[in-house]
Amino acid sequence: MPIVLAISAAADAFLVFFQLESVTPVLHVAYSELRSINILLETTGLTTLETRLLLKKTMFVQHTEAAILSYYKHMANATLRLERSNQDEDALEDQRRKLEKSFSKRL
Amino acid sequence: MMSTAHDFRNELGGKKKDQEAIDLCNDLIDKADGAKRCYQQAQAFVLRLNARLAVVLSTVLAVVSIVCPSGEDLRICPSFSDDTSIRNFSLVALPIFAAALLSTESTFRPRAKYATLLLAQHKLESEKYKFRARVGAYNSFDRSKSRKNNVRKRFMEECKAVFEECSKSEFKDGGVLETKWHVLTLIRESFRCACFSRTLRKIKRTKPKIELDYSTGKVTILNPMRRFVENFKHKNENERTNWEDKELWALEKEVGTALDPENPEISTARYDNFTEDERMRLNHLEDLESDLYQNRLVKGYRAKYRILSIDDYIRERLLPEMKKFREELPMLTFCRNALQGIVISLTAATTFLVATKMRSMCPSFWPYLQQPMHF
Repeated sequence: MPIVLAISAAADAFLVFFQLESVTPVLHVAYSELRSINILLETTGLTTLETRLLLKKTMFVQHTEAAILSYYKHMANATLRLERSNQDEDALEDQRRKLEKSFSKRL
Repeated sequence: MMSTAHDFRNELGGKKKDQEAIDLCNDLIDKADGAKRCYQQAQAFVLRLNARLAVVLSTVLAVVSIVCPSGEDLRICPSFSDDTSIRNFSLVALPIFAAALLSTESTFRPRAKYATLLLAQHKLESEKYKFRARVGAYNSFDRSKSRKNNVRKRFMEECKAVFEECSKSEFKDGGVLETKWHVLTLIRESFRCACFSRTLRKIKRTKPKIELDYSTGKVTILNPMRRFVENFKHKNENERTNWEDKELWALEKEVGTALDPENPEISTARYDNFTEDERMRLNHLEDLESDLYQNRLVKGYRAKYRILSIDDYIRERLLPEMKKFREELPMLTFCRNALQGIVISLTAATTFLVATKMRSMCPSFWPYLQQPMHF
């Protein structure tokens, strides 16, 4: 039984470590966004005039960049949040000790 | 007309300055990527995994030693249960090892650094493509009050800001990105130098072959070094180190210029041996080669630095990223489902084992808990 439990814990740790639960939906959203832009461009197509319009170009480029960056931003922020939450516990403990000290001094 | 001008407009200083700006940005991206890889390996394989493994193992050992202190009832691994000294040593050593690894991780924080670098790298890439497409803040015709600066200057400022933000966090945490990158480059360069020298020595040992065709009077010099030089030049065009560049320059002087672009082994090394007719033909090929070289240069500029139209942007940015995401998505989903399945099935199996009290498969805790414990 300990071995079964250990394997289960390891699998769970992998899930948490690679953040698969949260990363997969975000990646899916980013991919759908990119696909929708591509489909929009392929199916409706742009007229010769539209391809030269700065406004259209700006809109497409900014949408695409936002979609691509959203995935990486999520990945990075989720990791940083996880790291901070671990550190926050230590920081809170330190803060509590400092407050206790200051209170004891005042008293 | 305006949009056409927009597509072909380079900033003050022309193409060359734009090229330099993009090169600088590429350099920063490479730096971030290199450091990111270094942290990724450190966090994934060295620290986190080993620490978790040690924690799990020590927990298992602790459970085993509580359940069967003398080792007579352990049916999983009887040989291990006999030797209690190893078990006791592991029980002491493994938690210390795990604690050491975890404290190293919390000091150097490779995971947080990796995340910062990942974000910085992709922000820089995004800025680069926005600059190349000249949209948003990099629109040359947008001269609003807040955007009075030159577009290229704005781009460089943005890149600098992204990279500085990243390196500031590095400084704060005790690691210097620049130093790390420098050390990494030195190691990589020395390794590549060693590989390069070894191949070079091997190639130098093989002598050039002269082939004579008596029916046509044609002389062909087959120089394997020439082919090596050509192959190396094409393969590592963007990532050659200074040392390799110097070495190649010296080597090229030795083997001469390639006269036939299709067959680079024919070299000018024995030019004196050719007939007048051959010389004429070879001179023509030499011109052809210089033309091809010029074409390659122009093509290289067009591929790397030109201002992107919508179609170019789709081809160069949107489609490759889409392909990357499409490849990643099924793999990640499969991994997630598989791991979730493993967790659920193993938890269910454990519950089943406990519920049915299959003594042969799982040592029941209850009889031991009823007895007084021996520590």
